[in-house]
Amino acid sequence: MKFKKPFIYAFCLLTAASPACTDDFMDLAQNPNASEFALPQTLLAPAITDVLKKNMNRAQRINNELMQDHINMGDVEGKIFRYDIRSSESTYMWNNWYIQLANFKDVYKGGAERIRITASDLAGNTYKGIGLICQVWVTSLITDMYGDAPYSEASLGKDRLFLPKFDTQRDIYADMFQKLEEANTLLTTAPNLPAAETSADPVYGGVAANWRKLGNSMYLRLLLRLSNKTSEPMVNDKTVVEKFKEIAETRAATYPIMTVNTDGARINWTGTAPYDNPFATCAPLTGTQ
Amino acid sequence: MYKTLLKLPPLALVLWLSGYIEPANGQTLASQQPPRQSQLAKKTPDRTITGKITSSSGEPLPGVTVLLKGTSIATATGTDGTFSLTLPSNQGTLIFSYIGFKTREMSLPETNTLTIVLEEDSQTLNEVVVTALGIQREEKALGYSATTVQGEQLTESLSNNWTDALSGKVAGVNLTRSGSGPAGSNAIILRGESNLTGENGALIVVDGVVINNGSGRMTGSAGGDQPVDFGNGLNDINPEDIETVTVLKGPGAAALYGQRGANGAVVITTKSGTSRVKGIGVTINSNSSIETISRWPDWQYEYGQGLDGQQYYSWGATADGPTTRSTSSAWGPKFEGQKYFQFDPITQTTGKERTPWVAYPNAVKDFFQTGKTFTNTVTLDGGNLNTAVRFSYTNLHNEWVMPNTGYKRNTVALSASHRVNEKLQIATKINYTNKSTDNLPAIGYNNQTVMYWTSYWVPNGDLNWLKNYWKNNRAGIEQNYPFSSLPDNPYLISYEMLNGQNRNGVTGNINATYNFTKELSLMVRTAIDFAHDKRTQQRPFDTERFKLGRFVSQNIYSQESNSDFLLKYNKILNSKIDFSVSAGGSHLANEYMSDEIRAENLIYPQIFKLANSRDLPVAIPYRSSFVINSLYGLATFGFNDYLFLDVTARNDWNSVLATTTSTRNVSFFYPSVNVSAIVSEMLRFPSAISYMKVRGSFAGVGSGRNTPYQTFIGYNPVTGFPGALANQTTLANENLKPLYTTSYEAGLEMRFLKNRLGFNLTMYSGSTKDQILTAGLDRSTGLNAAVINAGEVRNQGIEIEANATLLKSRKGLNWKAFSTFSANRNKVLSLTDDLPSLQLQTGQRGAVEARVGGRMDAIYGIGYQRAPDGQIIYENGYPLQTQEPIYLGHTNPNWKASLGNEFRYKQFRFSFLVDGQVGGSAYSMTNAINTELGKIKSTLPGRDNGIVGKGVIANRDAEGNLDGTYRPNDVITENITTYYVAHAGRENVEGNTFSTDFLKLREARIDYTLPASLYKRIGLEKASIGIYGRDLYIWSPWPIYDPEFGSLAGGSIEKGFENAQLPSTRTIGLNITIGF
Repeated sequence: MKFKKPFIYAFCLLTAASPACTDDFMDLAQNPNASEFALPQTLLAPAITDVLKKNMNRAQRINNELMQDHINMGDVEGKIFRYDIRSSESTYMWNNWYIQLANFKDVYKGGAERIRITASDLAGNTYKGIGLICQVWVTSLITDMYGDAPYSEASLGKDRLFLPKFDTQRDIYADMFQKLEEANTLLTTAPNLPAAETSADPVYGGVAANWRKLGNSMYLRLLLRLSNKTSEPMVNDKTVVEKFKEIAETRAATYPIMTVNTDGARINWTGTAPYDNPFATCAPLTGTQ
Repeated sequence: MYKTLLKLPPLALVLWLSGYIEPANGQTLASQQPPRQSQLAKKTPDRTITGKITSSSGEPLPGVTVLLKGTSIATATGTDGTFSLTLPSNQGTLIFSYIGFKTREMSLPETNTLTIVLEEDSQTLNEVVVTALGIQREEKALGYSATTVQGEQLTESLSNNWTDALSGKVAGVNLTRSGSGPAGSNAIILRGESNLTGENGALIVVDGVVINNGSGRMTGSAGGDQPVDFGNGLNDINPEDIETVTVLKGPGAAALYGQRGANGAVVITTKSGTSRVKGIGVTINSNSSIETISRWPDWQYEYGQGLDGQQYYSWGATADGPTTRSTSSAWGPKFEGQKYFQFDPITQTTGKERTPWVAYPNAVKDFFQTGKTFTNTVTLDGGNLNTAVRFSYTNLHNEWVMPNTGYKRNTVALSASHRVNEKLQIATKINYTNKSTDNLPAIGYNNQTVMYWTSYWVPNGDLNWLKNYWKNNRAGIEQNYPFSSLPDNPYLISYEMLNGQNRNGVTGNINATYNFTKELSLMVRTAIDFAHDKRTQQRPFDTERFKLGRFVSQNIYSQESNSDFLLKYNKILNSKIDFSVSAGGSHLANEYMSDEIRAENLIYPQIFKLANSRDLPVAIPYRSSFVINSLYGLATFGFNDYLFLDVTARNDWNSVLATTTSTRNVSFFYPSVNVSAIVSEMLRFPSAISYMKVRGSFAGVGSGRNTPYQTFIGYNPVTGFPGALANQTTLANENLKPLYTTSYEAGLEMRFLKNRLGFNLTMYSGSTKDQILTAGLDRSTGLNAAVINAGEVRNQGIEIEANATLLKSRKGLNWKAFSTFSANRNKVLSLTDDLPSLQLQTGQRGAVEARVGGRMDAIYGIGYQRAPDGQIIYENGYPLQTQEPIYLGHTNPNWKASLGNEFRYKQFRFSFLVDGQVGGSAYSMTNAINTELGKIKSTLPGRDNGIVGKGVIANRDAEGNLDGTYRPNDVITENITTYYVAHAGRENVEGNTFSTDFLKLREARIDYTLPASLYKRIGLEKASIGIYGRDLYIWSPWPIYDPEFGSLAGGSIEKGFENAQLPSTRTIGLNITIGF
């Protein structure tokens, strides 16, 4: 009996102090540093810039040194200008291209999402077209460098696809042509990006027609790479030669291509971050030799 | 007591129940007692007993509790051992008790003046140990291994980081230092790593406040630049304030700490005030130490700057030929008294005349200075029976061995406790620390660091050429560095490339304990640990990395608050059985904020402000928060004071396992069981065996870890682009589960010959499964890595602590020795189905990889191609390297051991401690660079005439195919640089992997305590002086600096890859303590 009161106190305290154990946990799981959703205008510029910078970096590190165009500052072993090339050099592009491929896939998906949100927002189609062209750009680099490579299941790690299958180079090329066809169709009617979003496109400032020209010019370049595949139909029952002729001559109006210098696809290194020339920083990029 | 209660009038009863008054008389607050009550108690006249209590050797014992049995009438002796106690009656028994002495009871004597001699308790079985949640337990009742280190042992040979003092004192403790300068972090690993990724450090608890993720959080780098170790809160604990450090090594001991106790716990209790007879106690402790570099690389000074084959030297193009000044290599001409055109420091260009070609062997060493640390502490303490207060102030001033580096620290600590009445006790401990520095050294292999420069400086370089670190008339704009453009001028690094910090931290708790009855009590406590850290990094114009300068400002706020309660019920059922039941809960909330703003280029030189930014300053914010709620219980049973059983259970709810839509994985439960038996009390042993205890423990501990947002899939902002996002490259896992550690432990503790000899043996086995791993993926997934639950790692080991009192005499020489030994074996039992190996760390070259069946700390890298008999295969005179990484050793030692000795003779004391380890290895980048650049003596043989490497050549048949036979190598190298680079250039991981075995003279100390008669006369209570040395000598095959290095990698310290480590230092100091 004499313990009764303290026990009641204790019980009350226990109940009061005992936490409602998972209160607010779902709110706490919300990451304040990241976003669950991304619209295409947020994804495009950093992805394109990254691919370009990585390409230039490697061009400087390998091509320029091998061509004796310039020489590394370091004086110890392991220098490419001395033809000392390690197997690890080959993974750099593989590793960086596939990472950005995931973002380009989301540019395409995000374009569709914009149209879902606002049916009249046809700039979504512009992004879809740009997304396709960028995917083809990166994919062609991958397959031209590595041959058969993961493609149809590539960059889908988000769906927990951790071991993507390899596709043959032939299938990859065939599908790239399909993507370029789709991009050309989309960009025929797609508007330019709204003024507020021109900075999302560091290449053309959102001009749809220019992207269309880029896509078709790239189409020609990829067809040229298959120029010895004369008999095999590669695009919609057409052979490479037939398709080339169609774009360059017979249906040139449907497939506008680059004709003047201002059509060229480039990012201007203004010297203002993030558009600073990778050559200006790539030597001390790692801070070491 | 309840009998007394019945005699009280109803009003007094109500007051008692509400805790306002105290029924029994004694030393309670008399003014609050109603007059009737004192009348009641005054049946017989008061009687005052005074006395003095001494040890058997006649020394007065302060702080002895004197209690009238069955009452709360008690007092404590003062520093002179005297006491005075007023008793209400003539009958009763007095109890005299004091830790380390046998408790003595005596019935009230006739006389009012007593002289009591307490006998030292040679058993010292009743040693009280602070266990999980701050619960004090008798050592003998523990079913697991716990080692307590007294505060004095930590301050005796003070280094910059007090945790160093745990080395060699506790078996199974591994300190991993970041080796990164004066304020460097370190991690305490108990019994080996079990988590494949990160978070292997022990839980650090200061007065019930867990500091790991608050002030203890390690934040290595600032500014996305080279790392600077700004230290963690563990270093900021003032060693002078530490009463004891209890190391709870296994999960069994720390099970009540929940998920965070899975790696064991280090429980730090800070000092509290003590009851004093009169006045306040003042202690002044002054510690001064100097620090010097203890080991250098074995640099060569026979050959000067130049590439292999260069037979001349020319600074700039001269009559002698084209310039050879821009290399950092020392494969050039021999120092033979010849003259060349060299650098002229006055004109900062080529000298007009040829000057003698000489080496400057001390150039690098002279750059460093003698470090100095001054630590001064004033402590005030005092109190009476009900209130005790302790206040301390510590000032630390450090100048480190690298010029213009060091830090200052001011710590104010207050501890107060008050017994409001017999029922309620309130206590608080608050600790405020300010740490500030103008500059901490940058670390790592990186051209922003001084250590990078030490490898690149040429033998023919005079340090004085660098002291003017600006070009003439170009101060602030262009640096003066006469050689290769890879390193920066070290004086520019030290005086202009600054890494500053100002950190204010508060750690404290308030707790109240209410004793409902003698058996039932409730403790409620709330604790907070927060720190605000302001950091800046500035880089002037023309540094090699930042040509237009740079300024980074970073603000970090971290906070962890923890509120808990513990309800305890103890009951002694009869003379044989006692038990206790405790139940508690806690709510922990952690918050972290970091705001970093960078001006990547500056407009005007030498103005380090964001306003001087050339571009739009880049902002990099980061926020995180998580909550862990817990409920737990503990039941203990004791039988006959020789058999003990503990059972604990705990459930945690950890928000880091929640997703935005679900909380299904957040809850996890785990139990522990501990048994202890004092066999020597149960059975009769020969008298030579004084004590024998057998113990066993089983524990399971779940953990969700402390990294939030591993369940959140989304897009991260891209720095530099406005409103830009990119897919996360590490895939989060929405199904993340807690990992689970299961551990078994058995121990035997024995003492012999009246406790003169003793040992404590522990064997354990534990495994951690469903680890939360960040598994690397092929990038064709579009990801770098994914967070997964997988893998199981087992640790098994043995720990022995032994001690001996070899000589014991009251007046003569006393000699005590102790020793520790620990060995741990680690095995990766499984990873995931499609993951044969997991890279845990990568060095500049090579990696630490966990492979199934192997160890977690295995080093893999390119090694030598070897013939079947193990000889190195040569081709054209050069050794061949493997194409694929091979196993090269493991980073953790097979075993560690230590031996400490203490000699006392009258007022003198001498002690020393050696410790060592065997079986680990690591990769040395510093050795690789110094080899590539021809800087060390190992690159001297064969410089003039070539060398024939020891090994074999693979024979080829007529068609040129390998025929599987070998002949001894007989080819003289053509190019000596190529030869040494093939052996120990950075690519050859094997060639740079060295044993980290060492034997260190860790501590040595001589003390002199003034005789009591002397200091009493001048009014002091104690006075002692000591000289100590720390890390005095290192014997090790490790080539460069300290084999016990660590490298800071994000929030953890890694060993395995030495990466331009900072020099190892030896400390010699003087310590003076005065109390009055």
